[in-house]
Amino acid sequence: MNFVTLNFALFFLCVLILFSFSARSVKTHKIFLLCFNLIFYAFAGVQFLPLLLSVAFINYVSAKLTNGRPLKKAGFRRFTVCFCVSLQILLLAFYKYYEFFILNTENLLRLAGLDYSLIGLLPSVDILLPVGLSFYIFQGISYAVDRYRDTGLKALGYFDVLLFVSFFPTVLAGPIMRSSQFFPQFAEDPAPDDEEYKKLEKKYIDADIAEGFAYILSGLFKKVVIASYLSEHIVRDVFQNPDFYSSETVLAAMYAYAMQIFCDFSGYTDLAIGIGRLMGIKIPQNFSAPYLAVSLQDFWRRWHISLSTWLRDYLYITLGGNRKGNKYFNLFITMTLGGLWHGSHLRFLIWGMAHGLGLIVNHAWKTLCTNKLFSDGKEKSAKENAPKPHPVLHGIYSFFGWLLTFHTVCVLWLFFRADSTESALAMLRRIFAFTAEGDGYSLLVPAAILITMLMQVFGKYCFNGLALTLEKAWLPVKIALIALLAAIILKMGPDGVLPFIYFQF
Amino acid sequence: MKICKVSRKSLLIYAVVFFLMLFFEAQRLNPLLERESAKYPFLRPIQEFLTETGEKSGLYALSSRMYDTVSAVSQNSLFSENRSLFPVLQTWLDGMQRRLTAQSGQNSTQTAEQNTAQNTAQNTAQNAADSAEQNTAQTQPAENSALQKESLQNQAERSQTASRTKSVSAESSVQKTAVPAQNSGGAAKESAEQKSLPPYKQNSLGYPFNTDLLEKNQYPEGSDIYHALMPDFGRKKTVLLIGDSMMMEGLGPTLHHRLRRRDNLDVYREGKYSSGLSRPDFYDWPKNLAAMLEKYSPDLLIMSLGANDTQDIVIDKKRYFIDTKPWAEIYLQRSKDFIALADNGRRHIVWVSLPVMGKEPYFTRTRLISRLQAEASRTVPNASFVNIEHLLTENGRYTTFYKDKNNQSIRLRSQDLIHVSNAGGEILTDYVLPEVDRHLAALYAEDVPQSYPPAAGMANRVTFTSELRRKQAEYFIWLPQTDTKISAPKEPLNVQKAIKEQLGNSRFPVLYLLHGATGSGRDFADNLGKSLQKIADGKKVIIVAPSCEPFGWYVNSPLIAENQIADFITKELVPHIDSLYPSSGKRSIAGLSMGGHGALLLGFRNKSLFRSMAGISAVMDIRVHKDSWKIKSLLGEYEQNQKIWDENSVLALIGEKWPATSPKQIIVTTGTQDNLVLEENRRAQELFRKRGFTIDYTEAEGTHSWDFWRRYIPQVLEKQADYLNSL
Repeated sequence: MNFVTLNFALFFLCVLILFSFSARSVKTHKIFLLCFNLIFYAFAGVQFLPLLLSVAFINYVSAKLTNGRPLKKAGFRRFTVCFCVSLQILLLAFYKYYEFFILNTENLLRLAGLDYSLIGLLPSVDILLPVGLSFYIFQGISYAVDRYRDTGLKALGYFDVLLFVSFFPTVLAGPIMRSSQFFPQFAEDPAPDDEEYKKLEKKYIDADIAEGFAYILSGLFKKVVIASYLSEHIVRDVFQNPDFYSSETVLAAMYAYAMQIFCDFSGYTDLAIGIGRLMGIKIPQNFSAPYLAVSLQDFWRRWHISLSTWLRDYLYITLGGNRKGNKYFNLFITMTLGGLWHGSHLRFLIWGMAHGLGLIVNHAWKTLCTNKLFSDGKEKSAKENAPKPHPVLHGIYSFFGWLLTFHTVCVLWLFFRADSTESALAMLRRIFAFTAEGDGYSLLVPAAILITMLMQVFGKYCFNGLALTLEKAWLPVKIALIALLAAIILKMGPDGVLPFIYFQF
Repeated sequence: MKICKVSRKSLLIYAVVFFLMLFFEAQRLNPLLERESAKYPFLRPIQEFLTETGEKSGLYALSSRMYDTVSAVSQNSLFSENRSLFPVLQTWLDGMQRRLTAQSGQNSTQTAEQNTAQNTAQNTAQNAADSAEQNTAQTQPAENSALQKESLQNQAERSQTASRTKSVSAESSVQKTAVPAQNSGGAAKESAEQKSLPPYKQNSLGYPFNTDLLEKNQYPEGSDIYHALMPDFGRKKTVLLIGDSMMMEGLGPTLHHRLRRRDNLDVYREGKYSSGLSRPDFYDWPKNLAAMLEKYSPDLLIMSLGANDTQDIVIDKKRYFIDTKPWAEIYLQRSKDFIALADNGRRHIVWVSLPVMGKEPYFTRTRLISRLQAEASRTVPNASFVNIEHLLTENGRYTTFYKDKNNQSIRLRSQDLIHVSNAGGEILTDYVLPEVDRHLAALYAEDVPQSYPPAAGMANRVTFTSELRRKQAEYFIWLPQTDTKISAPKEPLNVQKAIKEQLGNSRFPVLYLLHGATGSGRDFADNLGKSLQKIADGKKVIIVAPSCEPFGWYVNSPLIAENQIADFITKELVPHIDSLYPSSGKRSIAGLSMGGHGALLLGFRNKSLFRSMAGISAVMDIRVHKDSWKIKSLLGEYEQNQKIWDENSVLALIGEKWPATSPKQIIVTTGTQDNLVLEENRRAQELFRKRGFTIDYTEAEGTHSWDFWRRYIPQVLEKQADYLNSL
């Protein structure tokens, strides 16, 4: 169920009604939420419901076995968690790469001159990817691994795990939550009768709701207005047939896609966060002005934060992180796998590997700067004693860093979006032909790109302003304002909203 | 508990907002409710309540006003056209400049505009058939103000095109605004007078055939030039692809891509996801089709839709269930209406069926829909229905994957078992394309009307429209005489057929002959008509002498948009000749004086086109003559534009090119008393030798005049003809 549909609006109305009138205790509340989660997921695909249930079950068992009292032997615990995690990874790999595997092993075997008829015996390759599978598997794994790593945490019951894994605002495309962010929010009131507390709580609730609506409006704007416009008016056509467009247009399409994917994904995230807020559940941020990043490292701290931190905590650190093995190698592997996670195509591999290489260069440059340029190899003191660069010089340095980062990211998005590696390269050739003649583009495209870039800089202030206005405004004014803004935004969009890009991952 | 409290409070706001949105989104919601209430009666009171309240409270009015404002801003603004940023800025600057000049001398600008308006009217009148001419004349005074407006628009568009060709000088842009807008296709199409004519596009010769024009242009009795009347051959056709997701993915993009690669087609694609004929409440195809037809006026319409039509149809709150007979009748009627709307008697239509679907109920239902569409398309004579259901199947059954000839599995369908992948689109395109070509061939055949074709055995003057030069271009042509001597036909004939009758099935080399700075192609007919015919007959070659601009210098001028002579010859004239006459593909090029410069320039640049090149009294180095012969009006001052002068100088080219990358036969002939170019020809010869070219260099008694050329041009042409025949 897409968030920007009448169906979802109705569904959410039901959710709020039942929540506010029936839920008296945490337990009943959880039961209701669980029911809604399952109903919501069933709309996405009833046939995949068992998959959701089993992912929750695997993680529940893993946590119970590795965390149950008395503690089992370390070897057994390690074995259990490895087994459960690999089971889920296999599940994910099966759905994501089965087709790729079949098609390519067949080719490989044929190239090697071996008999490949056995592969042909494998069942038909029409396999649909369950919506959100990778997101809830990641969320589940984080739960299981957290219990394994920190035995102080309590292993929860099956329905709790299911509730966490299937939480409906995030089940389709994240943000990937951690159990430590999720469960504490279901705590009972610490001091239900304290007047002071009630006052504070009321204030916070008002702020929460205002922010929730502000998030929803911001998400709608990003998705319905900007992402849809860019997709319809330049990105789709140019990526389909780059040779018909002038170099200038292809370049504009490259920027436009960078903006589209940001607006699409962060718009989705904003909607998810807003929906969570309206139910009183905080969902972590996923983006923080990623196109302002001054280095690739910085970019990954700002883009799809929940995935990059997940990869850092559960893949990079497991590989050895900064300490064990080669830091650069670990980084490269992490990014490559991160790329492949998006799909079984060469272009995703290229995208991941290029980001990995970029990060290596980035890290190496930084190490070089701190170690060689500013000190004699004493890292810590170097940082403290390093001469502060002149602010203007620093500004210029940052600007070039930003320029390089932004363009690296934009060019790599080409590989991310194009139908194939060849067409991505064709687009690059087209851009660097400079003078190639062809069709132009609507002038609203640069405007939309500009708005998105301004959003990176001033978005925070606009958002805070809107949230504050909504919080302080008189109730009828508040309602009218929200309705009017939402109506204007929806009217600016096309009929029927396109699916979110990240639903396919 | 906090969660509960939050929910309760947000419910209040959310519910009211939701309620309000029901009114604000009325444009989308009402059709939906209307449709669904046919199935679920309990929705009816809700809908009635909403309509009543909405209208009473003024919320509907507010909503529609918001909608109008937003769509006025985002859709109907001047931004809706596809443009690039920089030319638009240029246009804006041009506009500013014009406004500034208008302020300083309002009167003069007004007259200029008047002129433009009159020019436009005159040109259109020329184009039109007689009756239409009167018509325009009558309406002209009434539409004068409208015309001025039009011409302003034309100016804007022209200056935009001009800025594309990087015209910088303000003077030239002012000059250009005075040029009649006749040839700027889009502008002419929009102009009001054009609309008063029958919608059939008029070509520049007054098509359909008009004998009055022939008399006006005929040459005086006794002249050995015969004016052949030629239609525009292979005029650009417009193809429009429309449909639902089938046209947006898979088939649409691949077909679009393949057709767009062709030079003589304008291809556009319009579509809407999830649309169809069952749900006009979601997307009104007939209405939108009418708008698209008006926008593009396509000659050929290719459509594919119906994947979303496997649902009930609701008319006037009555629901017709799918899989029933009434449904099929309604759908058939809608399809018939739809195709009838697209048909205007001349337009060709290709309706492509839906591919086979991978799941029920789509599988059965789309087959039914295809049957109905096929039946509907039989009601229109120029339409054909292409059934592609048997493609993308294995033994007649749906398949997602396909093994190509390397036995490699390729995905044909997307994961929903409905949509077609790009690889699948390629297969469908391969199948659909022959049918499309059949229709295109029929369209092109219509363009070759009964006319007076060139005749073998005499000098023929032929005219055709040049898009690049934005005017009627003429050329003189000598065709070899065959055993059956046929004189100029008395009756209009099918041109291609008549030429074939005269020349049989054999193919001939083509010799191109370029005139000098003050001349035209006519010079050759007047001075050498008989001897050129003798060469054509004796050596079995076709000789073509185009009339290019006097002082056009055979260059693509960055300053004068109409002076694109180099491109005219290689991109328009050569394809035109090849498409109409039995050319063997072996070509040579020769010219005298400025034409010699042109011949060597084009020969060097287009090795693949010309096997032989010759310069007779040729201007070898335009840089020597930088202040004479109007060259700088084409290329700009030498001092500021050295690069472009170098690019267009033959001597500079000799210094750059190698024998391997140039035509094999090179002939240079000059008169020893030729004060104008003898010196530079000698320098060129030296440089040729130094670079290892083998050239046929002759210096003979004579001056820069027709005395000399009458003697030596036939010799040079014979050498070229012999060389081409020996290949």
